[in-house]
Amino acid sequence: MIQCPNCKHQELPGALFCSECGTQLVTADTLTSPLANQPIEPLEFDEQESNPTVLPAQGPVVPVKNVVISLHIVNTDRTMYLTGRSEYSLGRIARGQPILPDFDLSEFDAYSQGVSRLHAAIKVQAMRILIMDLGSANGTRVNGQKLVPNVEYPLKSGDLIALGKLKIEFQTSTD
Amino acid sequence: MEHYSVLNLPFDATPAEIRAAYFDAVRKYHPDAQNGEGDGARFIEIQQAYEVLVDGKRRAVYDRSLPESTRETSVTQVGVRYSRTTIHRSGEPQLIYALLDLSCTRKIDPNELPPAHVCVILDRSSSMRGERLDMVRANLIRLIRKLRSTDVLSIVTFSDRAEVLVPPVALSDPARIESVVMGISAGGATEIFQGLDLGFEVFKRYAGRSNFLKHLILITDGHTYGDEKRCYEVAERAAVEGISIHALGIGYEWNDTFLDRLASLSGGNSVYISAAEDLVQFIEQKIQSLSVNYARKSELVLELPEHVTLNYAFRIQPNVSPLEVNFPIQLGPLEYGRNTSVILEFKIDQLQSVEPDQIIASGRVYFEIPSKTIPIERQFIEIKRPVRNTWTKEKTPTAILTAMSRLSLYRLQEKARKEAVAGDIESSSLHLKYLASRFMAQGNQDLARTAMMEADHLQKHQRFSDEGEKDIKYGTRSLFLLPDPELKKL
Repeated sequence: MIQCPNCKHQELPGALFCSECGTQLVTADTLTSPLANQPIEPLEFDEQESNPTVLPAQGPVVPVKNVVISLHIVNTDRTMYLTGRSEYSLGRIARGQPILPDFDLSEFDAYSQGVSRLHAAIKVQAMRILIMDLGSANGTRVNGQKLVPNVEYPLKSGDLIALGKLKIEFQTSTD
Repeated sequence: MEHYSVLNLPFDATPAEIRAAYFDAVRKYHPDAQNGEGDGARFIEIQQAYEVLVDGKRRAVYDRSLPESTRETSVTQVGVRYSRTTIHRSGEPQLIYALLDLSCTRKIDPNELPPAHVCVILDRSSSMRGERLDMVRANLIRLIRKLRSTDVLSIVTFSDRAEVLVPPVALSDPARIESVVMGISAGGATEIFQGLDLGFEVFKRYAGRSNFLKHLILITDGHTYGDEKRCYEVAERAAVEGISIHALGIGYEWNDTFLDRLASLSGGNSVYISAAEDLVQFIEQKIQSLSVNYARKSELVLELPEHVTLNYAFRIQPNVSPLEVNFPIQLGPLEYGRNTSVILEFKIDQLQSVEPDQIIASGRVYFEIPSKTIPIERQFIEIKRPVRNTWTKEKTPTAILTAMSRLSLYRLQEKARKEAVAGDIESSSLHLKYLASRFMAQGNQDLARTAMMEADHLQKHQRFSDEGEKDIKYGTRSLFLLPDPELKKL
């Protein structure tokens, strides 16, 4: 049996996608040690709120309260704060684009840094925060490790994200 | 009548195939089993055909008497791609995917294009009154104007009974048919079997030219009650006759599971008409595909070893549709210049054999090509992989990965629907939320929102909404029509 890195559902060998949550289980690219195999650090919770029977440990799209995500654009003095939603897409806005990213990185010279229009998404779940490359042209790296497109990887505070060549430091804090 | 066609055989039929076809035909047309007019004459034809074909010498003489064109090599091909290069020798079950590509290698020849007989079966129950009927009328007229003058159109209308509104006519006088179409009025209940059965009869009665493409377009906006099984039987008989059924559902109050099954039994598909544009698009597509049709039907027959099961079959192109996993599987028509692509999921229970190769399935694909003297062509296929003792990590071919990334969402949606029907609301809404996350990840925010709203509706009402179930299902299907994601540019 193989285990889905996202929801821990058991699948038969040879399965390409998780039948439970749709996560891609195989790589089209070669990746030596997927980050997804690293132990996932649960986010900090109040004792009262972290009742695991109430919050599904691997459930989809359950916003975490009190967690503020900050993205610091390396080599600038700018930091973006993500609050209030469970998912944020990052990219840049170009003319005639049908779907706009939630956060436009154009002002950080995104085009010449190789940021795609819809580059990556950051998702906040019950116990963790995930990043997923949205099939960008130049790829997404976390601490130098390249991500397989459309597969979610856990993020922890202090990780260095690179969208193309644009480097962003990821931090979490509680309110 | 030509001997091969009498027995539904290809020109290169093997002696075993000739015997099998003969026994099949005899069982159906034997004097003791007679049920139809003309069966007696048919039975004599079958006997004559068999006696000639089964005898090598007489067959060779007969073959020489046939036109030169029958001896041309076939131009249909069946290619197989796999999700893995090897399979694993193991006591544990495993999955493997095969992507079948049916293609016609010949360039389109306008002289070879067969004319089409399109029969429209129109629901004129009272719920169709007003806007819906207006939309259908306008599009029927569009269809009448765009069909070729060699094509034949017939129209059947039904409510709780059915009548032939326009008997099969060549489109030499479109204005007259148009005026009949304008006169259609609504009233009564919906009994789909009535319409379907009469439509099928219209095809049978109009047997004059058998080399027509035969399309049955069912247009309805409602549920049918109690006659589903009889409808499936008509669809199965239609498949045998090479008639493909396309089922169009208008609005939200129709049963998509029923129409899907009905259509896929005959090699067609179901289409969701949520707005007038959808109907326009369907008609345009239909006209386009009639003008590039090579084989009016193709079907797949597989034999599987005992420890192998075919879990799932899905056509990803053209006419995106799940397929009935019952042999023969109707794969639908084959066009010039465009593959018919089908993805198959096989489960291999356990593999202990010491053979270096494992046959996963073997069988045949049959094509019915109206432009040929002997319309049947048959290609053998063998789905097999070398066996290894170790499980190796390997790269999945992009075509299969792309298809499966979409299909996995479609199946997630199917799963959620099944769970909701079974009353497992919790699992169902969890799967809907996962689906929403996937749509969101692909940048498909409309579908993501629909799925989230449906999860909400599900928790409140313990069932899917008529609207949501169709929006999600057909929305997920439409993902197959998107260009491949790897083509996305900076």
